[in-house]
Amino acid sequence: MSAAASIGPGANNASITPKRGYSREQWESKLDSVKVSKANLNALVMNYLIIEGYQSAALKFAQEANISSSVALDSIDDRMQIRAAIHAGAIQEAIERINDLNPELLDTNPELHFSLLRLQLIELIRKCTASPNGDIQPVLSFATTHLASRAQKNPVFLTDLERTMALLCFPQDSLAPQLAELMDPSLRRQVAARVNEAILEAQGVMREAKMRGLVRLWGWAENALRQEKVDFPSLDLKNIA
Amino acid sequence: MIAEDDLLPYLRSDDRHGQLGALRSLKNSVIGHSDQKASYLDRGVLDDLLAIIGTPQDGVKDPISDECRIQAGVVLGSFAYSDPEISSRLFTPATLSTLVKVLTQYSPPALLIASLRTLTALLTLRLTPSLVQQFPDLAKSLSELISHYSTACFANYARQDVQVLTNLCTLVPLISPSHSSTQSVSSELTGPLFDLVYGSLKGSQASGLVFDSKLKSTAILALAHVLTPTAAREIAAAGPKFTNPLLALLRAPDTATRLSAASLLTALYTSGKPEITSTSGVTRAPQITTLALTLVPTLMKLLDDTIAAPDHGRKCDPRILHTLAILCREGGDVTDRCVEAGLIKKIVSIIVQVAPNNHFAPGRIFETDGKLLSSSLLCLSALGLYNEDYRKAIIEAGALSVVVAVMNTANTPATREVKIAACHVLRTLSRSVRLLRTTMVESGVVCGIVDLLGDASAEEERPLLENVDNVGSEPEQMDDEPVHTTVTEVAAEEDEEEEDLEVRTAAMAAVCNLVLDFSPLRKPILDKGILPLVVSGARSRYTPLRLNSTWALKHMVFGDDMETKACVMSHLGFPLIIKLCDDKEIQVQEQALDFLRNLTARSETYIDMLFDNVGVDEVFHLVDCKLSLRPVPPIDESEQELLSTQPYYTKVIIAAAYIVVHIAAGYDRHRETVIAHEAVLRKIVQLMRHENYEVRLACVWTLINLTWVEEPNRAPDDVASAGQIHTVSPAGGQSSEQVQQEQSVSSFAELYFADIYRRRAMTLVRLGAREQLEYLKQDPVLDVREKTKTAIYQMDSLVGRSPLSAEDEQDIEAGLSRGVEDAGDAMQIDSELHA
Repeated sequence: MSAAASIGPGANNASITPKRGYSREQWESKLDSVKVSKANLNALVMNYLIIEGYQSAALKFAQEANISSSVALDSIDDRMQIRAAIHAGAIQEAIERINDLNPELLDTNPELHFSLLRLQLIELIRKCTASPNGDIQPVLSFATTHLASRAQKNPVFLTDLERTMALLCFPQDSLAPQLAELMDPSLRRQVAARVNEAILEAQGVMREAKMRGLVRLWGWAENALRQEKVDFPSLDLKNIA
Repeated sequence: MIAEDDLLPYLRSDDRHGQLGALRSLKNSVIGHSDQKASYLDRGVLDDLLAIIGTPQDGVKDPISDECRIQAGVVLGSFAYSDPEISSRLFTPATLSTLVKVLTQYSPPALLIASLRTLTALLTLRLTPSLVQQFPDLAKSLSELISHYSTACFANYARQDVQVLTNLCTLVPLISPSHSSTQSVSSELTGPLFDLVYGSLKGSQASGLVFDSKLKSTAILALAHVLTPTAAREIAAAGPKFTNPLLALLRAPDTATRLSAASLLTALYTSGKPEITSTSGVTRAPQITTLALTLVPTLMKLLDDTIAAPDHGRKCDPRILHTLAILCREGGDVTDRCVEAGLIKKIVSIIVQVAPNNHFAPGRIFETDGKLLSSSLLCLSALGLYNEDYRKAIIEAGALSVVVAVMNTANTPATREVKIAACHVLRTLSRSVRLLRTTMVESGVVCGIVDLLGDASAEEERPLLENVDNVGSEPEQMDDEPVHTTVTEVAAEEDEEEEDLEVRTAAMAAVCNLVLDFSPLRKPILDKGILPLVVSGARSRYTPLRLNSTWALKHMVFGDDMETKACVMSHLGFPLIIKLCDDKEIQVQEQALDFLRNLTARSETYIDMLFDNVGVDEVFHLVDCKLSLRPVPPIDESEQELLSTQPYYTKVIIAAAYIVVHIAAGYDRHRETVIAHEAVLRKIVQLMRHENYEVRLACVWTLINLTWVEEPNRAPDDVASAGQIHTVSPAGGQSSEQVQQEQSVSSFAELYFADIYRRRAMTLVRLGAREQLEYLKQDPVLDVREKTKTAIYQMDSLVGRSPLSAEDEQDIEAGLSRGVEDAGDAMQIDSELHA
């Protein structure tokens, strides 16, 4: 058959006017035609496991997929212990673990250090206000020694410190919403997440698993196709086995 | 846990367990707490820490003692990562030597990490010129460590090994901040760093392994930093298997990796063999230029991202601008694209952020700002190198006032680079004749630049070992100082002040164009007493300074200003300039010979002076050597290196040939000396087939000047001297016979000269000049063809060949000009960047 015949009437409609839509089968076969190397897939999975902190899964996966382990893998356990300590309110322990893991982190990241110290202050306040005759002295001395001088130099720190100290003035059970959120365990989780990200960043690892970026990219591409009025089966995250 | 007040006694005790506990407590109480750090330093904790870190290792494995050293190292690191007020207190010789010792001995990886981090933090303060000069073994130790830990990493990617490597690579650019000290470490470090970078690029391609991006980017930056042009060409020759993964990294998600890749690719591309260096820029192979162009968008995007951020300018990574500067030094399309993307305005906006209203903190510029400021200025100077419009834009953006302000700040290690960069801007701007005569005059540049040359020379004003007979001939104040310093002592002195030398070199480069004869700044600069400084620069053992100083001297004797020539010669003296003609550096030779070329141009006085001081035969011997100069390939260097110096050899030949042209343009007796040196003439005739047209042109000019027929009344002293030459001449006759004798001498001389002119022409014909001229009639270059016609006419009329009709003769005669009028002086408003 000559080349001209293939674009003749009836030979293949799709090649004359590009079809603005794909059936599921067409779509799937298109997807299958894109070759992704096993190595890249493995790296993607490994990256997800490491950043999300699944150490034993990551170690097993590294063994099975026969890929060398990465820096960040070694520190998963340390990061998880630090996270656990912050979640449990053991801030001093967390700080010491951070200093063991990366002595540079708190020296070079004063904002992070301040938020940890403030969390430590909140824990002291929690302890002091828990009992009716709690000793307020440790709270005051901690605030004076570690936080006051920082707050002097930085207006953001000052506001945060003032708000935290206000906790002492009100009964725990009737706090204004702004103050209540300081006592909420979610603050610990926030700080723990920031610490985790800072450690990862210092190790040269992206804060976010690459897979998440890919999912977002997929969403962007789907939107772009829809704007072009192309009909195609969209990705349902539930369908990913 | 030990109470904080009781820590110090534990540190000083022999109880290792107690010591370790105290160190751990100390660590947690100082990290992130500046007030604690200050207080412990006040109590003398530094000595305790250094003593623990430096605990002698007697070969017995002692885990507790090792752990103590590690913890002490970590604590010291925390002190280093503080406000400059605190970290600068650590900066003692004891600290540096203790830390370097850790690197040169077998040390536990954790201690290595801590020590490397501390050194990095301390060196970032830039309080010391160059660590490699204080510790010559350091580069070798680093090289061994990089090799060792690279191997470990590739075998088993362990976190601690990666950390050691990353810290090693971070330190590399800091131990050799200056250009010349980089060269000294590059031979040690290029190999291991290349292996590391190549391995990491290959690793990530083959296995898809998440090779730590921080290690990768620091390793790439370290390699880019130590790369010499020769090494870069060798690596570039490795081809796509190395460059393709690097190009892919230009799209890496993190900025550090993108920057590192751009910086290494820039180093690789800009060291490719330049094909032509012209007034519009450097021309390289087209594919190299294309690759260079792909780097521009990457770098501009990096720059835009930092400028877009709040508190923009100051946070900008200086390496972005530094890399752009290296790229823009190429000129041509790359520079145009950068300017189109608004680079000049962006740089000026950064400078305004760093130094609002040209105001610098009294006495010092902070290191981080200094780095940013110097790369900003360097980039501006690169942008204006080949383009007058861009120079104008730079001036209009207000850069000159910044330059002047920088020059007037106090000298500190941190300001050195800024001053060097400021000199580069000045040099770029001085390439514009228009700016030289307008804006620059009013800017107050002169004081700044003479001070830069003067400050350093006050410390280093000492003549190097010269032939003893120089000393008497040069009436300089330095003669009073001891001359017989041993060579090694002098070398050590200069090494210590290497960075001062770099400042002087940059200032000298700026001086070069400012002292040209059409520059209104020439007189003010000379009046400031710059000559002794330039002459002392020409004596320097530091080659770039010697080169630029010789260059400046060359420009000072350019033109017809006899007063300046006399002034220069009174300071310089011939022995030094002759010595420079035989310098081991070919580029210095070129400048020194150009100096003689300019000195002898249109100046019989200086031809005589040259002959009197150096000796006629010696001058021609020198010229003879230079005319037959061939690049001698050094055994240890590649062919590429040879190719890159090739143009200078040709320039030396051109300069030497023009010295002959100028001597032949002197009096008749000068022409006689040229004719008397047949060896030189033979070379000239040979060189008429040289591939470079300027060489051919100079040869033809020589022939034109040698066949020139002197107007009878031009030079009475010549006639007298001719009388002396001639044996029959009644020299020293009685005064009563004087008039009559003169008449007879004069008429006799006419005949005598007619014969002499003819003999000259015959000599040239005998040496084959006539045939060569016939060949040059077909020369591809118009100028050569035209001058060839003139030479043929003059030669033929003397030897009586192919006589022309009287009218023809008149026509041609009207078109003739004295050789020297058009045989240009050596002037290049140009010099290579020495950064």
